[in-house]
Amino acid sequence: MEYHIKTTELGKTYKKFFSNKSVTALKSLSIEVPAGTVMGFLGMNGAGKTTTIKLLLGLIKPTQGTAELMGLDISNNNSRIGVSYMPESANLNRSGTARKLLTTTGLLSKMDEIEIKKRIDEVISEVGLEGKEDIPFGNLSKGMKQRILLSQAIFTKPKLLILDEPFSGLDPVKRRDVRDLIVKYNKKFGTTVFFSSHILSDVEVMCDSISILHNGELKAIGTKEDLLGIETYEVLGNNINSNGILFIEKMSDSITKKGEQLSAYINPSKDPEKIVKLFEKYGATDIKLIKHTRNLEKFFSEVVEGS
Amino acid sequence: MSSEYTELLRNLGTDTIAPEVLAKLTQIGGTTYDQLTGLMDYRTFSIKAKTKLNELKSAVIVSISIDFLQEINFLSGWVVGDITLCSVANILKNPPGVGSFTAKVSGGTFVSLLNITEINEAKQWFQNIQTKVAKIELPGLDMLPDEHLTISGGMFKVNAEKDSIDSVLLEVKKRLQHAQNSGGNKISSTATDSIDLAKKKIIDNCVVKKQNSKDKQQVNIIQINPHGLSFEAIVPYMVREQILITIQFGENRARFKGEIAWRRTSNSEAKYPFNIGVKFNEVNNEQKNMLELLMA
Repeated sequence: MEYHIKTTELGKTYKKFFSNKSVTALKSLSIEVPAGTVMGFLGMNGAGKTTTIKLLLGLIKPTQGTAELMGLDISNNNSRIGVSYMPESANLNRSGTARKLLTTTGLLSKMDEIEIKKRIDEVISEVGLEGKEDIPFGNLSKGMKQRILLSQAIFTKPKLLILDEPFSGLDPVKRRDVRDLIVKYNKKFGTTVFFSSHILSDVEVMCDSISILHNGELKAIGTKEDLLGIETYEVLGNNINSNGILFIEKMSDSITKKGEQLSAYINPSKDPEKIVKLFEKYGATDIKLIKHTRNLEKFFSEVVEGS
Repeated sequence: MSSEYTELLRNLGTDTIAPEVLAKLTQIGGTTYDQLTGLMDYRTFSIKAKTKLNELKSAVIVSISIDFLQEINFLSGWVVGDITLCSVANILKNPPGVGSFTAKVSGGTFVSLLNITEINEAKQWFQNIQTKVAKIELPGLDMLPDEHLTISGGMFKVNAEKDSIDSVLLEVKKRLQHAQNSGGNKISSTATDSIDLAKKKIIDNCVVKKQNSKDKQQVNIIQINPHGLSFEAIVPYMVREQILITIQFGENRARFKGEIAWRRTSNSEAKYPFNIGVKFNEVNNEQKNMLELLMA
């Protein structure tokens, strides 16, 4: 198994100036993010999410444990080759523009000018900021600046994308667009995505796996399905014959019919493939199997309040 | 049912029933049969099973039900439903073991008392029955989900010194329902999908080893189900890491290959701070038997 992020008992304790007191922001964090997956890093404010990201990027040094990016120890600068980062907020120069920022990013990544120009058009379109590339940052809204930060992070088509609260300051429509864009990079280019958030609905939609941090301690980690557990399977299909409905109803916990579409719901102790085969046998078309996991919000509260 | 018995019942009137009449009814009404299949009925079965268990001390009770009998009646007619019932009854009427017997319970359900000591023997018998039932050819059976007739079963090994026949029959019913609710066409020796082993403390030893590593760790299994288990551990295992689990339960020992699915930290100060979930990669028959033993 290839991991793009792997930490072993990673910790950070800050010492306060002019006093002997210290604050532990992160305690013995061991996490692993397999290559090509999307992991949501959840936690309340002050849980240690940003500290973890800063440690991974070498912006601060750990006081305990080790970490690897792309298989290399974080003390090795080469570990950050192919890694992009989007901070939660950045103090962008009021007179700077998206074009200038992206050109600098391209030059630092040793891209040639023609390639940079082409890529600027592509990413500006991807983040929905066409026509805004030459407007000074001082004249842009918070949401637009957030999308410019994202365009800079995806500019080099990184292997690993680390995003700190990528959805903060975005309205619901833009949040959905950004979510779709991140998922597109994961699916199309195999980009590994590690992002912190406390917007649970976004995490639920986007992630393969989830980790939950609370008071600097990792409380849970795993794939979404395994961690949350499947609550119900839903098999749906169109135009099923009436005899089939009789048997499917008997073998399911419940069924619903809307027009030509039949949905059968079964509990996880049953084999959903058996129901899928029944849909096929009784002539259904457009058959789909949907796995409904438990609600992430409930699980998150249980983990955080339980501790 | 004897004519003397029915005659007596019809002439009881509405007054208080005299104790001697009740005794007479109990005596002559003891053995009653299902008219369609000719098998004894449930009442007779429970009386006979009580006596038989006192004599045998140990036996296996199996309840078998025809899947989709109601739908067969509905789609192919009552006659086909009745033929189905009689055909299955014929297959079930001579169960293995000296003095074993079968009764018709209700609808498409039967119950058998098997004079055997091993639950695996009962399972084998069920599988033979399954094969024979699948060969029954009647009009309309190709409409069924498996395109042939199927049955489900629940079984329980009785210890006559500990178990009462009523509690056993209730337990068998639960196991049959579990088999039916988890898709049918199978036999179940358990009534649940997952059991809490932390409270039971029945596992003698469980050792986890990472694949391609010599490091072993003794762990406590918390829960187990046919697809995986969760355990308490001192050190964390990486998600998606491949591991080997060896479980010792009495004289039984089985090894499972699995993948770490999730990890939770319960309390970092505790002796076993990590709760870890594992999904089994593949489960062979030997491992399946072990799981059933643990869950029974």
